[in-house]
Amino acid sequence: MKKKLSLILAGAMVLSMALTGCGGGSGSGDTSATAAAAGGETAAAEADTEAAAAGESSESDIDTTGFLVTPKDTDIQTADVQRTSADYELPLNIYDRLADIKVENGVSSVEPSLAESWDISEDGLEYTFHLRQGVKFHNGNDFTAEDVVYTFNRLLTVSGAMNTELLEQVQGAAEVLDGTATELSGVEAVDDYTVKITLVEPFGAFLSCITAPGASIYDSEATEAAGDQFGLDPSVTVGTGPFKFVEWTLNDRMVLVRNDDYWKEPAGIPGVVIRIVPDTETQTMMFENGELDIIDLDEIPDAVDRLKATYPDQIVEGNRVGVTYMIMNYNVEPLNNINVRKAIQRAIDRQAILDALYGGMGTVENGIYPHGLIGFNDELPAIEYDPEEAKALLAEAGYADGFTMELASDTSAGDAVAMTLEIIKEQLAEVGITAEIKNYDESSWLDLRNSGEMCAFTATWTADFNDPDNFIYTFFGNEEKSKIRSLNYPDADKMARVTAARAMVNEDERIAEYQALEKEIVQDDAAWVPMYSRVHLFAVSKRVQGFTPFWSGYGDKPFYGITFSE
Amino acid sequence: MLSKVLKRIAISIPVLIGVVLLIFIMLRVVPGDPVATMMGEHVNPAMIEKISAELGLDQPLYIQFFKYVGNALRGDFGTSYRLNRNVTQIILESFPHTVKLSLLAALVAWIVGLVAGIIAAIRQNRLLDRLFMGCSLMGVSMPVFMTALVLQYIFAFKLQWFPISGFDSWQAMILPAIALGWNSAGSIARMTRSNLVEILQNDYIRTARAKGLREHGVIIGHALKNAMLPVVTMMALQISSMLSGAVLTESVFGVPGIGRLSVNAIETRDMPLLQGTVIFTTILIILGNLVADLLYNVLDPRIREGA
Repeated sequence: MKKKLSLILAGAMVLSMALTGCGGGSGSGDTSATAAAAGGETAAAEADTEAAAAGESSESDIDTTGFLVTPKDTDIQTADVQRTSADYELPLNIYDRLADIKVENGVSSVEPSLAESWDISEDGLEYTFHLRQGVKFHNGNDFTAEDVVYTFNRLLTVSGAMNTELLEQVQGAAEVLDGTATELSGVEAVDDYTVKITLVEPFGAFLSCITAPGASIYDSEATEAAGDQFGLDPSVTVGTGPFKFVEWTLNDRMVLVRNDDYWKEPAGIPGVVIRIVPDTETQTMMFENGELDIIDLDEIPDAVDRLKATYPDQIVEGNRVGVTYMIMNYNVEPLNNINVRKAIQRAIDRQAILDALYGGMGTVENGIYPHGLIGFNDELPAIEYDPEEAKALLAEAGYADGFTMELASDTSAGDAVAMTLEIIKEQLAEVGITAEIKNYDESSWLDLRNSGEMCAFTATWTADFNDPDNFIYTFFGNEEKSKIRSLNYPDADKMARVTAARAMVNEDERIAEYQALEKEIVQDDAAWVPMYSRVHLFAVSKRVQGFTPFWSGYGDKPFYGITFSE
Repeated sequence: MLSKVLKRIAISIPVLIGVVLLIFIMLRVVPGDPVATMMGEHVNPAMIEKISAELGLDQPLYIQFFKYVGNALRGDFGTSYRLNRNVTQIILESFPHTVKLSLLAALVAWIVGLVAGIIAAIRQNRLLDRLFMGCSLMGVSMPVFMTALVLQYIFAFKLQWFPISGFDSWQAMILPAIALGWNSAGSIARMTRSNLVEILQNDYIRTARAKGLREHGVIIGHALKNAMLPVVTMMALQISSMLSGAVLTESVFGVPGIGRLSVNAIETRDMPLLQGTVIFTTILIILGNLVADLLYNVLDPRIREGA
């Protein structure tokens, strides 16, 4: 009996040892295929058991000493940026685009990248891009016009395409999207280094569109060969960018190494390890213990003050071309009453929220275009915080005794959003409006919002590309958009004007029209409550120099430009 | 013996089918569209429709179900909506981490629990007993995630003896294993102690002592094996609580295991992935109970002979 018991215990022990021993190899090898770094191999290497068999543990294959370490709270969906609208960190670093946005002293411009220059025809319909020569993809292939044509075709046709809006105005895009054509007629390779793009009608924001991460340029040959493994298997996911994607261990980490053959100066750091750390509190602790180089303070409002006090020289402030707003449903009584909406606009003390939650790091906004966006209107009248006037407006609307409304909270949106709603609730109570906060998990929240039946919510919209179109068209472009985005904004005439403005060729007139529409919709109709744009704060380790957050304020970080001080 | 095992396995099949059906229906009844969740802020109704059709989500529920079961029987659990990968592949990749964590935690629970329980029983009502039982009470009462956070804060953050997050070295495995095993260790210690204390009162123990056996001979040779029966059952049943605890432990310590996978899958309505993880976990629990039964057989001759 005694023997049996000890046998069982010993067996359990041996079993666990065996699992401990072999787990490292089998656990990590399966999809974390390690890229055959250099060399022109583009074959879609099957990235499973063979990789595990080839190297006992792929984790040890890449020496990550001296790499920058930064966290992410969950795995990305894919590094194929055409199939995601959420995960831009890898795309920003492993691919390039034809052009990039550069913001200097608050002035935004489009600067050349893979395209050295471009001409726009007078009617605003034809864009001719002159491509940079001598640029190579990570697999050694040359970058040519063929790659641009391939990339833009794939952007519309790939299964699960999520960034089709970027090219919607290109001739033939509608036909490709609805399946009546297989090739995008509006994009053609004139010669190896010239691409001509023709639009259906003039579109002032087009150049900005192709700077978006979603318009990153792929290698036609490698991407085609990779099939559905593109973006998942690092060895076949190649671009022209400053870093190469070399390892992805699901739920654990992603590794980038410097591209020494980059067409610009190679990056200042040897590589980047993106570690998956699900808990933001854990991220903070790891940062404080020196285990992480850059953390995003957006997710940890509680710790911001402490980190700012402890590491005053290690806080990086980034622009955020994004506006936080609150939207009230036009189909819900009495939110359809203009005076009620104006009362709510005046009942919310936005500066107080900014001060309480973000240490005042940001600017109150009065319109739909935030600071830093092309078309931002400095002269827009301020919406003043005025609870007395709010009460008067409510009385005028026949709600002197107030009313009850619901604020929908997305529990995945983070503590700061939840606290914002709490404060709004308090402030509305002061003018007699009873707001009830109702919590939804992310999926349910999106479901409710997309149905157009959510009562009211707050969210932040960050620019995908630097143009007012990205804001006003998204929220008030047509009935379909307004149902989801601005909860049934009803004025069809103004929405038609928003759509028409896209095709205005004269830039000054276009911006003037956008600004007029902003004033009419946001202020005169009080369609939504503009709140504020916030500074995006990051904490960096002592050795990190030259980190510049992405111009629009994404949490996705560009690593090019960073150097270590040691 | 073999027929008994086969019978147990046969009984498990309806359980498994029930679980699949339940999770399948539950996932489709709760609000939240997986495609819309994937698109998040960049929602576009036309695109939702297109992608839903690509994923087969526009088909009637029963067709989706039979397709799923048909494929699952052939070992194909589909492709994760969010991660775009084969579910089986993802699970097989994450699973070893969870197994490793659970087994290490079980080891912690069994060793710490048994040793503490035995010592407490021998030193009944003395200082060591009180101390161990106090600790075990703490172990039993503290939620896993709290144990995990406390251990992480003290030993990884403040003292810096262990890494704060990750699971790629033996140092990194210690805290998660203790955090997850602590709770069970507490239960096992308490149970071992109370059984042992009771058995030590028995006549045959007095006889053993009377015939001059040394105390440790009495304990190990006579008392322990009889005290172990319920404890062994419990140890095996702990596997399911280990797995649920693993979800929390994995999130705190960043272990790339199946628990975190399920949490992410729930949040993003990643149905194929969640179905896959639930089925895997169910199979594991069924196996755990099977092992418990078999152990019981081995340990208790009465059951073995009765079978």
